[in-house]
Amino acid sequence: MTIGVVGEMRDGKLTQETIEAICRAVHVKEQLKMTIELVLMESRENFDSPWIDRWGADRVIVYERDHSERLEMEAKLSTLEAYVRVTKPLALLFAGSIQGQELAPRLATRTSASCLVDCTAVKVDPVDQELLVTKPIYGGNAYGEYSAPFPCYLSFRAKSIAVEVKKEVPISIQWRMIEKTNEKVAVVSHRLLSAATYDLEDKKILFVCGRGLQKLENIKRVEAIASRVGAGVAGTKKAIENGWLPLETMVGQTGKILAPELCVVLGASGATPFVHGVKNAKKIMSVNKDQEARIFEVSDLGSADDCESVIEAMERKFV
Amino acid sequence: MKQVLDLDQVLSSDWIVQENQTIDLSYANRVINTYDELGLEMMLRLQDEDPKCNSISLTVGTEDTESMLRKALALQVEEAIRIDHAVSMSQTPQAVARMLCAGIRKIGDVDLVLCGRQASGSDYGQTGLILAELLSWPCISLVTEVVRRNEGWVIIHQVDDGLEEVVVSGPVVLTMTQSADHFLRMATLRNTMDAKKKAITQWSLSDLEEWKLVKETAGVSLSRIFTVEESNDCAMVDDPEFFVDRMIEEIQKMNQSEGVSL
Ligand SMILES: Cc1cc2nc3c(=O)[nH]c(=O)nc-3n(C[C@H](O)[C@H](O)[C@H](O)COP(=O)(O)OP(=O)(O)OC[C@H]3O[C@@H](n4cnc5c(N)ncnc54)[C@H](O)[C@@H]3O)c2cc1C
Repeated sequence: MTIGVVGEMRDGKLTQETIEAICRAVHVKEQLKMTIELVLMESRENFDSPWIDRWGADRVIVYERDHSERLEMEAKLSTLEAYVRVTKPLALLFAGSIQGQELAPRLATRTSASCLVDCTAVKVDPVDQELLVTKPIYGGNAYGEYSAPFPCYLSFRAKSIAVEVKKEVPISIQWRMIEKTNEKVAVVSHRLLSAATYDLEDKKILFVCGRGLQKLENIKRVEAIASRVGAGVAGTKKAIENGWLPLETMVGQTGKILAPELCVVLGASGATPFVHGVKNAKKIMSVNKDQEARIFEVSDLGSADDCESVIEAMERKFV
Repeated sequence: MKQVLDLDQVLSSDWIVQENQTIDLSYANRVINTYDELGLEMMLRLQDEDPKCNSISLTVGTEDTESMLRKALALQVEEAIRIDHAVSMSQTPQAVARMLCAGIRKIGDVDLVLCGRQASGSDYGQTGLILAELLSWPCISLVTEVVRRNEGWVIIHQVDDGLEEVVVSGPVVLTMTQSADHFLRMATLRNTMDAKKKAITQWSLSDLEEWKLVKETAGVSLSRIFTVEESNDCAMVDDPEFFVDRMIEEIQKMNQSEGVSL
């Protein structure tokens, strides 16, 4: 019996989301004896094996792709369909990335598997021999526990598991060829307009801007303070929709899940889908002029003041 | 489009799971799912650009979803169709996608389907993706912008590497995500009044011959709902200066261990 982990690499390394998915697979393996196969679609140039050992996969299958060519979604799906045909995995775990969340439901539809994305926990039901999977519902205000019959494909919410380093063991790596698709390609061309930066993930201090900041000028003031203290600046959905900050800085259930040491939230109501993006912060300090705002329920320190007066106080100290 | 409850209105204290495994949210307003609003606005912009473009709003739901469809009609969507079926929390996205797929096939000549990336409620985040698979169409997810070019579409969407522009020929399913300045426009009072008189096409599942032909995939089943208390003891401070002082203290504590000073 096999559990596959569909992994992703960035800059020659497994992504954090992939490592988290392998850790989930290790957890399932503790309850149901299975072989964990890490499935990658990579070029030989990008592939550097030694670090793979540590996370707990038993075998690595690498579908070799051309280094210079971009791999289309359709080719990825066909390759994974071929993998499923050959291996018939009991479960496939996908990285909780944008790609993983797209591949899982599409492949599940093609290969008749059950599927859930954005999951936060999984265990094996010993009686029915199926997976019991937890995921947020109602915008994260509640959780649903689902029984998911095998074969079952899952992707997990980022940072919902602590990563454990396993001791190094020898691991076999098998190379296979990527599946070519003969279908007429509907995607005629693509080009990257702006590259994602991953610096918000690395920031120890995060300033989050909500709609309560009222205007772009105030965001600029927060950015100036943030650069002075080495903080990252992120936004709520409403701040992004107002065009105050770029899409990739959105935090929350449909944005980034971040875990800074200090998170300063300015003018956000504390709606649960947003809170899921910051609740792993060690300390949350919030400003909202409404004393009853939900953001205070998850904060360590609060100020029921106008954001502008707090910004002014910060400027006096920092700028 | 899906009609959902405005969960931002629900108080934290009201998230109580009852014995019958439901949560009483009856006081919350019914609204168009936030990500479907983005799809609706995008469709209206395409129609503004090309008056020959026909626009249709399609939903699966009971009669009470008609107010949402009337809102779409008031915004000058040309046709509203409701597939009559009560969608519950236990409904899988596969089941809903099958109904939508059969509905789209019945409409016939469709070039573009816009869906929200996710709806609040069951939060599956899969319906648009499954729909594309069932239609055997390509799917571009997390779209922020789309324009028509010749026989195809120029689409901007979010990928793990950033923002990407793709050009797609032929029909395609898009799942929409948030972007700047895509707020749903307001209807005029006159159009709102007119929309009340417009007909809404209603199909039952038995009208959708193809529904049963669409491949059924294995589904998950919801066995339990629960909530987790995640509340902190928040100390409130009155003075903004004091708030900033506390913030500086925190930063200094963090920096001390790394030998950095502010
Ligand atoms: C399926 C789904 C997924 C979602 N995913 C996300 C997500 O990933 N991330 C996200 O952020 N949202 C998400 N949302 C939206 C979320 O529910 C909220 O609508 C959003 O987070 C609200 O943003 P906000 O707090 O900036 O705005 P509002 O809710 O409008 O809050 C503004 C706050 O500012 C305060 N305020 C106003 N003026 C001032 C002032 N001068 N000084 C101080 N305070 C002031 C007000 O009291 C208010 O509390 C999602 C929603 C759905 C349905």
